[in-house]
Amino acid sequence: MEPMTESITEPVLLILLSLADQPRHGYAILKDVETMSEGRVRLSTGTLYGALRRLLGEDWIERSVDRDTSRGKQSYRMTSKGRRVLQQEVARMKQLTRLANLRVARKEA
Amino acid sequence: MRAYESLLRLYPRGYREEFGEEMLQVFREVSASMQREGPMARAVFYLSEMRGVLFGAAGEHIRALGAPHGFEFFGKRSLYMQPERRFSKTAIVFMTLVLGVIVLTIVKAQGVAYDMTRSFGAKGTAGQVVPFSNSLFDWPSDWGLLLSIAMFFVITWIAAFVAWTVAHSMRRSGVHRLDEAQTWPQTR
Repeated sequence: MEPMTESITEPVLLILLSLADQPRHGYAILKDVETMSEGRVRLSTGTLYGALRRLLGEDWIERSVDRDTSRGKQSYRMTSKGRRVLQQEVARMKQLTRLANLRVARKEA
Repeated sequence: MRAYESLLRLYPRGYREEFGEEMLQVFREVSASMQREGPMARAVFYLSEMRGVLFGAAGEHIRALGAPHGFEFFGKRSLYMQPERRFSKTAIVFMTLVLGVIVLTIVKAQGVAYDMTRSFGAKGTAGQVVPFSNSLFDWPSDWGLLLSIAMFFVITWIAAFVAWTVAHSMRRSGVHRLDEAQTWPQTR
């Protein structure tokens, strides 16, 4: 499994999750992140594009022109490398959650 | 919209060329969707956008400084040999912002100091305590000190401006010398 260069912040994780099932353009990512986090995380365009620039630099996502729209918007899709990193992060979170559940249960017993 | 466009100029040129148009388009779409919201939600949105751009631009400049080809700090044009060079507008904006923040901080600090003097006075009796003011512009009574500090920063700003201009002029003259350089003699 590929080692992660740095820890993933919550906005970055949400952006990756947003691109996990289908390619999206900027506005769609913003809305999807807001929906996924139940309104808790509202990314500004500055934050979104800063994160997208980093993800493009890491080759975790790539650009593609959205042919469905008349304006030919840029959309972003996850690369296989990005998918591996996301799976690794999800596995890490699962392990952490399992550990947390065990500790909390032990404390309550 | 124009204000947002102006703010985007704070980003390094390369970043702006790559993402500027797209960011503007997304901002337009989000702004349109925010029209249905109340004034408070819109104010929060605009503030959040402003903060996002300011922090994002600062981050990009810092990243560009640490990049292997750090010239991006001066804009990607620095990599090309152009006969004309303009003073970086980003630098002017940043220097003015920094100056403004410093002066405001001094004003605020002076205001707090003035409040403390007023609250605890010469006698130091607790009965005369006046709550600290949270106003941004709490002008102190001691104008002389404030003005001298402000003048110091203004002079520093002007000196930095002149130094930067000289640096850019030197860079320009270097390009001109390259233009005058002789080409390798052709062999027949």
